[in-house]
Amino acid sequence: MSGGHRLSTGGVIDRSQTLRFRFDGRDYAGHPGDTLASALLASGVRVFGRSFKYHRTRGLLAAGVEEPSALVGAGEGGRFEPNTRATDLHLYDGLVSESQNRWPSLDLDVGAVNQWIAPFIPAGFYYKTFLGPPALWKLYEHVIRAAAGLGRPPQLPDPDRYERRAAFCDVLVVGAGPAGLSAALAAARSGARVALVDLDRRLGGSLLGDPVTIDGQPAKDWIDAAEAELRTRDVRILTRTTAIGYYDHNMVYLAQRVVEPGARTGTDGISQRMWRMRAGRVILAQGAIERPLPFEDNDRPGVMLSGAVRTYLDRFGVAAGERFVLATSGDDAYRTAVRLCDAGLRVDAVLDSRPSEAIDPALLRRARDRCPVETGVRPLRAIGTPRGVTGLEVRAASGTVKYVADVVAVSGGLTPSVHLHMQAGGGLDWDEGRGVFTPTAPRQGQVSVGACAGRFQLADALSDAWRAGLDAAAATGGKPVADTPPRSETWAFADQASAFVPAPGVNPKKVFVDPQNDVTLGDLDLAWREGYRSVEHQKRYTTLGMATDQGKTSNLIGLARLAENEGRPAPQVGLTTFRPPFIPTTLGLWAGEDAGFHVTPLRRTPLYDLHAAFDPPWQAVGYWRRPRAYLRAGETLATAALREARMVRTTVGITDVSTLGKFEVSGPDAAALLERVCATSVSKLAVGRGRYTFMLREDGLVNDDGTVWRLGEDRFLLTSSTGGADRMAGLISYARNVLYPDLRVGAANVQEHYAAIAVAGPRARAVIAAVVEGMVPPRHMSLDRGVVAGVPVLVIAASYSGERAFEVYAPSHQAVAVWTALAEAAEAQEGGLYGLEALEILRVEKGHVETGGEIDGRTSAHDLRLEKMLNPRGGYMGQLAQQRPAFADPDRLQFVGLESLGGPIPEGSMLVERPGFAVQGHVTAAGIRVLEEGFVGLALLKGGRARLGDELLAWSPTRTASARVRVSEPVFHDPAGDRYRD
Amino acid sequence: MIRRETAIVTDPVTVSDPQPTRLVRVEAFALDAAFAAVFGAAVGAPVPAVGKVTDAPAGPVIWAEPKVVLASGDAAALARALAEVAAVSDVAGAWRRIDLKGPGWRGRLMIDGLFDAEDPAFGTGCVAATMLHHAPVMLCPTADDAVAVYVAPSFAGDLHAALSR
Repeated sequence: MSGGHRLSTGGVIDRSQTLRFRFDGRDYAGHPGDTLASALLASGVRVFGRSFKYHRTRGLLAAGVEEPSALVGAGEGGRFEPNTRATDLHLYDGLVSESQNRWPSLDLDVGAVNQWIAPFIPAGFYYKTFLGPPALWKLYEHVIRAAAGLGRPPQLPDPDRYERRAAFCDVLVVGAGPAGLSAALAAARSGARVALVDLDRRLGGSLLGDPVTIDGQPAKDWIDAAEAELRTRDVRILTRTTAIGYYDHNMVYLAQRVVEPGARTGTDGISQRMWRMRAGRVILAQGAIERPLPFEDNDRPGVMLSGAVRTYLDRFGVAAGERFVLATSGDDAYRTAVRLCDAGLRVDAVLDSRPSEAIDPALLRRARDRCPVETGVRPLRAIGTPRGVTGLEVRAASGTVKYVADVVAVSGGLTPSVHLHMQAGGGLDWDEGRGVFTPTAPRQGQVSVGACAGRFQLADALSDAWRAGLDAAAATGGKPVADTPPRSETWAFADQASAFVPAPGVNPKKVFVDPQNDVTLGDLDLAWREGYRSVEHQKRYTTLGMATDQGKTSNLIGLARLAENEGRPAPQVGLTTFRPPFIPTTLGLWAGEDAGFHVTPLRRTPLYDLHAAFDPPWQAVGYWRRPRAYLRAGETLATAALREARMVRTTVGITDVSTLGKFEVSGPDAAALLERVCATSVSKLAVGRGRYTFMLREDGLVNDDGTVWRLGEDRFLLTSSTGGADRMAGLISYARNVLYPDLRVGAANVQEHYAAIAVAGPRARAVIAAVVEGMVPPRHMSLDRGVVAGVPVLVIAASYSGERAFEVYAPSHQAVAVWTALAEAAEAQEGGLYGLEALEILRVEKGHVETGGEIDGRTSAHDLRLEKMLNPRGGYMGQLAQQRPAFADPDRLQFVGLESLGGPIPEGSMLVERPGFAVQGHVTAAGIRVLEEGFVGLALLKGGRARLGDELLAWSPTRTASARVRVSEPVFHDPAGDRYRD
Repeated sequence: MIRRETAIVTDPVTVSDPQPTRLVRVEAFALDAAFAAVFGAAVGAPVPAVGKVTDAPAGPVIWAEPKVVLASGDAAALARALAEVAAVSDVAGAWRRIDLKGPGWRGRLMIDGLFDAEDPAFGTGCVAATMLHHAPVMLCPTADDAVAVYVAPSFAGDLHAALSR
């Protein structure tokens, strides 16, 4: 028995060209049109890899994406891709591939010892390790973790690009087999904007391996003609593209292989592309997947699906072996037998489990003209070695019979591919006679046609799909044509469900259902006996269907076994959920361009480049990046931050606060709108003055805080926090457009129109006086306009640091000149730049609340000691809700200060009496005193306002840090505010 | 019905550097005849319909929200002229404009985009607000082979890099 070989003729491969490739270090050759599977099979390779659990040898079972066994690693270096199906890897020159889950080699694998300890590692054995002494888990853990995972990840960075692309169409046809092509032709001729996608490299689907005639032409000619017409009709045809997920509103994700796994990319560097296709209507024509048969050792290399054997023969011109035996429960295998015989190959028998009277006489006669056919025969076990099958033992009426074969082609019926239909929310009907689920009750108007709808007859598939194409086009505005659908010959199909059950006497522990994860019928029985009687529990306990193939060939057999054990029909037992993706996808495909530097978008302030020149440590603030500090030689972040904070307390510092939210509210009703948005009074502000303000959500909790400035009689500037800027934009828009649409007002988001630069410190006034032409620096909470370096600016006097301070607003595209002038002036005053860390130290010492810290979405105005600032006239958003009784609970978390009685206070730590005692609150922020000794913090503490003087422990067990603290007022620096004033 | 090409667009596209704009935000107190008349007189172009852009002597007038348009010109002058009917804010610094020129601009906007820029009905005189490479943008086709992409300055650098890849 020499295994497979290439036939001298046949197939849709280009024999004029030779492609060289490697597998497990050996050189092989194939042709364009080959897959790695067909090329290796043609070279006589039978063993492709090892199974996950028992490390049993694995050959080819299928010829398509449903292949569960022949998994390989493809490519080298950063392009290496594990767990690639050899059947879904189209051959290219220079391909380097390797088998996986074996060590040191495929032939000699140490892991194969697992086969001998199989009785000790049944289904769910690792769960049972939890039942033993806990100490032993320390041992199990290492072993189980080492064994977990299939394939090896690449060790180097991926050099390729992954693109994400949007697309739209009227009609999306998924699958370009006979049904898909028929549907696409009908929709396109009807004028619809059509997209046709197929996971294969060329169109045709099952027709590529089936010598049928359509409209009087050989199938291959009909495919070519159909493709040519579709292209002339501007149909978007995407090959090597798999519909992997069907989401709401007819959004279908399409994974496109621009180059094959492991291959070098073209000049654009793109390896894969994710299409987000939004369709008016979706037609699913994904075909069906053949099921194997249950018998002992049915996982041996050489046991293959009947349809796959036919595909290798007719599409790739490869004979899968020398001697064939076909075991079947239906008609489709007869087609394979006929094709093998017609190709001059030896078929020792077709072994049909049905009685002869249940088989179409013409079909039987056609086969018997070519080879022996035995009926009423059921397979018992595959005979052979780890290198492959050598025969099949069956039970016939005359007793047990053995057949010699190097290929056992099996056919247990067809399972419609209903994955996408289910992902789209569609329901399923159970066909007891054929043992299949068929799609029903589409929720998004999707239509399944052809084999994936359970219509296995080619003629039926063509006509159904044609009608679906016309209907879909009509539904999206097209005009259905009156042409007739394609016509073809017919084959008899009468597959039966009895193929789910093995012959009596077969040992279920040796019957493999999921050959990748080594799940046997015995495992399913064990799970059932141990109480795992839900199909979902059975799946997770045994790992059936959890392999990379997601149970495409195994789920239904497992379900049938559960139904049999339960004594209930399959529909009552249920079906596990099909979730995206339909095939395994690389993480790079999902990430798209969002990798490396572009892992998230970067929002730059207008002064970003100036900061970047200092190469500062950056703080991510949403998509923004802000300098944490401007480090000098020898400084750490902490020492730099303290230096900068001291500079602000003693001389002057400037910092970029452009990320603050900013809104210009103008019009006759501007004050009226702001008095609804802000919880403080606004209308009484004099022109040129400003005040601190905060805003509530409709549920009465504090939303954000900032300042509000009256620029003119009918014009205000409202600022908010950086983190709350987008939220505030939404709130203001909601108030303006939904709650108060009749107000004569405009509310413009000017966050990015203005750059903002804070100038803070005892010498800030001197800086402003020196730089802003013609301006007397405004007093605290006042504003004025001026010019800096020729740029018109708005100067407001407000302080976050606790020092005399200003914020200078300039149009963002002119901000650099302003910053430069201010920085030079600050330096002349022995000051300089400061970053976010110093800003935080200063505000903690001053006791200002911060959005994201103390304003955490759970605190009220009272909790934050802001209740005295509430507008006594009311009328603001959230006013009524904050009167709820729960807001008056004295045990609410309330804003307090903390003085350390020892060292640094761990930020984020919990406040407790002693370790292990009930948590009473948490530290929201902490820092070092700037000019004095010691450490302080801010906290939210239960009933905190009545607990001044209490001593607690700020305890962070995860960081093994703690500090004794005393509860205090939150303002540690200049409580009277004297330093704001000149 | 919409016709479209089948292939991935590989036609050339040039991408300009982000440029400052002179956009002024005009928010009508009410979308009525009085606003239309005053706006038309002040701007020199009618109020654009939903999803449309009109041309004015000072530059494009872009529909932005049900009551909001973005005009071009001097903010202070417009504020004075429209004071009775609209609120006017200078937002010139809030937008940058990136111009894509070349027959492949539609395909380029489909990469990491969400909007059907390949729809031929989306042409000169239209505007769409959408996301592109995670950035909020306005797309305004300016010719058969050109589109203006308006984006906030903070996103402009990353977006320009992404469009230029």
